[in-house]
Amino acid sequence: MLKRVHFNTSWLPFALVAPQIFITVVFFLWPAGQAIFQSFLLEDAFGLSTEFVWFDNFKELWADDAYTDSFSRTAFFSLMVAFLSLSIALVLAGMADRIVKFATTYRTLLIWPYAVAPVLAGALFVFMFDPTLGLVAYALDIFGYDWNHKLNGGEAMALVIMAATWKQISYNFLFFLAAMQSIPKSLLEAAAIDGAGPARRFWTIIFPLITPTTFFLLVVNIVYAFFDTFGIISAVTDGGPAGATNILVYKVYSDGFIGLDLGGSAAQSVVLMAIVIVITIIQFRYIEKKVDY
Amino acid sequence: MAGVNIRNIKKSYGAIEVLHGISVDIEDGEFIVIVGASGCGKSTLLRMVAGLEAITEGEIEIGGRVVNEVEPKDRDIAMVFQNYALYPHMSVYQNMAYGLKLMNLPKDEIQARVDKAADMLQIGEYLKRRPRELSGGQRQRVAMGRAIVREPSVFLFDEPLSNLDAKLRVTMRLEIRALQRRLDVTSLYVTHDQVEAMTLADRLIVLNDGYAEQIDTPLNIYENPASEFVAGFIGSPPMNFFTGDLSTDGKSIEIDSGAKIAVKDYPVGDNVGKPIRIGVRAEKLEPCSRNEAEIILKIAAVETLGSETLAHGFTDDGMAITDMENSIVVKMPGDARPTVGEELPVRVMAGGLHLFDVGTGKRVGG
Repeated sequence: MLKRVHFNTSWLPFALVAPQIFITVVFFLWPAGQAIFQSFLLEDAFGLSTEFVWFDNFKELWADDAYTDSFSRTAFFSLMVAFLSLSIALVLAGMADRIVKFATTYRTLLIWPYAVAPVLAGALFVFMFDPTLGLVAYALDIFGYDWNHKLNGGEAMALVIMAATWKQISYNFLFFLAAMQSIPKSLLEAAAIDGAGPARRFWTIIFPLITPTTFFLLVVNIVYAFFDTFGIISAVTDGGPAGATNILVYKVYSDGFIGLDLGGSAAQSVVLMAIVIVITIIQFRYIEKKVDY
Repeated sequence: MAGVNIRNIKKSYGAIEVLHGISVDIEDGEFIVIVGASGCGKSTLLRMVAGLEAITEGEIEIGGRVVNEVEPKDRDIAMVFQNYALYPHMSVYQNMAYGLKLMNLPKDEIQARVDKAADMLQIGEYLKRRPRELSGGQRQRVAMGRAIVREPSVFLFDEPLSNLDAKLRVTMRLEIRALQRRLDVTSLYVTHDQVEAMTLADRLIVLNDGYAEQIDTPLNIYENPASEFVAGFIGSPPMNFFTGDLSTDGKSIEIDSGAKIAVKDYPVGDNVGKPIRIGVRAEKLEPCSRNEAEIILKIAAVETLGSETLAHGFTDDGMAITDMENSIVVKMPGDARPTVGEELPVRVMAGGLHLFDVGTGKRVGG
C-alpha cells in the first residue's frame, strides 16, 4: 500500500499540476480541436471564405488514389523500419550482452545515434548517398550499381528506411539490453548445463523472456515510423521522387502548407490522430495483460 | 555413475587468488558437502566442477576423464541452483523435458523419464503449471526433478535450500538425503549452514578463505576439528575459546583470569611453557562444586530452549553485554534454571579439551 500524502491547502496540488495542464491544453488539446474543427471546413485558396462541409473532406480523401497509396506506402515504411531496427538492435544487444571486455564502451557508442536529431540523421544519409557527391553512391558505382535516389522511387524509399532505422536502433538496443540483463544468469547457466548452445539459449530462453519488451518496442517503433520521421523525409527526399516517399505525416504537411488544402490536410491529421489512439489502446491492453515473469 | 577427482584446483580473478589449491577424491555415490562462510570460494569450487567457471590451475576429473576443457553439457552433471533457475515461460513438464529434448531423446522416453521423476518427487499434478504458480518447496522439487531426469553421474547443489523457510528446509533436507541414497549418485552440495552440512554429508569439506581446512566425515570433524576455524564453524552453539599458557610440566593451562585447566593426558607435544588456544564445546563444560571448579563464570545471559538451557558467562566481571560473541557457553539440561549475575563454577569434562596453536590455529596433538 502506498502512503497517500495529503495537502492541507486545496489549491496547492492544482497549482503544481497547472503548468503541465497549461502545456497540454495549448500544445495538444487546442491544436487537436482546431484540426477536428478544420477538417469539416472547406476554405478557398486565398483564405477569404470558408464553408462548413461536414464529412466531404474525409470522403474526398478515401476517393483520392494519392491518399490511399500514401497509406499503403506508410504501412510498408513503418513495418520495414520497425522490423529492421528491432532485429538489428536485437542482434547487437545479444552480442553486447555476452561481451565482458570494453562492454561499456560498446554500449556508449551504440547509444549515440539516439542523440542525433532526425533532420541531421537525414542530412547525414543525404550526404553519404548523394548521387554526385556521396561516398556510398561512389562506392556502389565502383561495383557497377548506379545509385540515384533522386530519380528512383524504390531507392528513395530504401534510403529513408535506412536513415529512420539507423536512428531508432539505439533506442531499441537500450531496451533490449536492459531486458536481457534482467534475466537471471543462473537461467542461462541452467540451459547451458541442459545442453543448449548460445544460439539455442537465445531463441528458447532469452527471446521468449524479453517478449514483453519486444512488444512494447514494436508499438513504439510503429508510432515512431508513423509520426517522428517527418524530419528525415523532409531532409532526404521531400516526399519524392514523384511521391514515392510521401508518407502520411509528410503528406499532411505538403497538402496543407504547400498545397494549401487546409481542410483536406486537417482531415488527414484527424485520421492520423485516430490511428495513434488505436495503437495506444492496443498497447495498454496488451501490456497490462502481458505477464511479467 | 562416476567418482570425481579434484586435483590441486586453483582459481584466480586477475591477480587475486580465491582458491588456493584444493584436492579431494570423491568416490562414486558419495555425498560431499562443501561448507564455509560466505565468500570462502565454495560456490566457485562447485561452479568449476559444473564448468561454469574456468579452471585457473589444477585438474578436475569426472568418471576418470579430465573435464577441464569439456563444456558443461558434456560433463554428465546436473545442477540445482539456489534460486532454482526454472525457466519461467515453460510449464513444469517443459522445464524438466528441456534438457532431454536437447539430447534428442525420443518423445516417449522423455515422457517416461519425466513421469518417473515427477512420481518420485510427487509433483505429478503440477506438470502443466508454470513455475510462478508453485510454492517455494514445489519449485525446489521441480528443480530437483529437472536434475534427476538427466540421469547424470554427478549432482551439484548450490545452496538449494537457502530460499526456503526454516521448517521446509528441514523436510527438504531429509528428502534430498533420501533421494540421493535411493539414486546412489555422487553429489556435491554447497551450503553455509553447518546443520545442513552435518546432517547431509558422507564427508565434509570445510573451506576457509580458499583453503580446505579439513576434509572428513561430519563426526570426525566435530570430534577432532583440525583447526580453530573448523572448531568454531562446526557445531552449535559454537565452541568456546580461551587463550592460556601451558605450564612447563605440560599438566595444566593457566588462562587469563588465573583459572587453571587440567590438561590430563592430552598430547601437547613441544608446546610446554608456551601460550596456547583452548577450545571446549558447550556440552563439555559441566557445572560442579566450587572446589572442583576449573573456571568460575559469571552468568551474563540465559537462553531457555526447553530441551536444553544455554548459560552465557564471562570469566571476569569487566565484560560488556555487547561482547556476547566472546561469551563462554555452558549447555545445561532443560530443567536447569541458572540466573543472570550468579556465579557458575564449571570444569572441562574428560575428552572435552581441544588445543590449537596460537599462531597458525592448527590443532595441537591428536
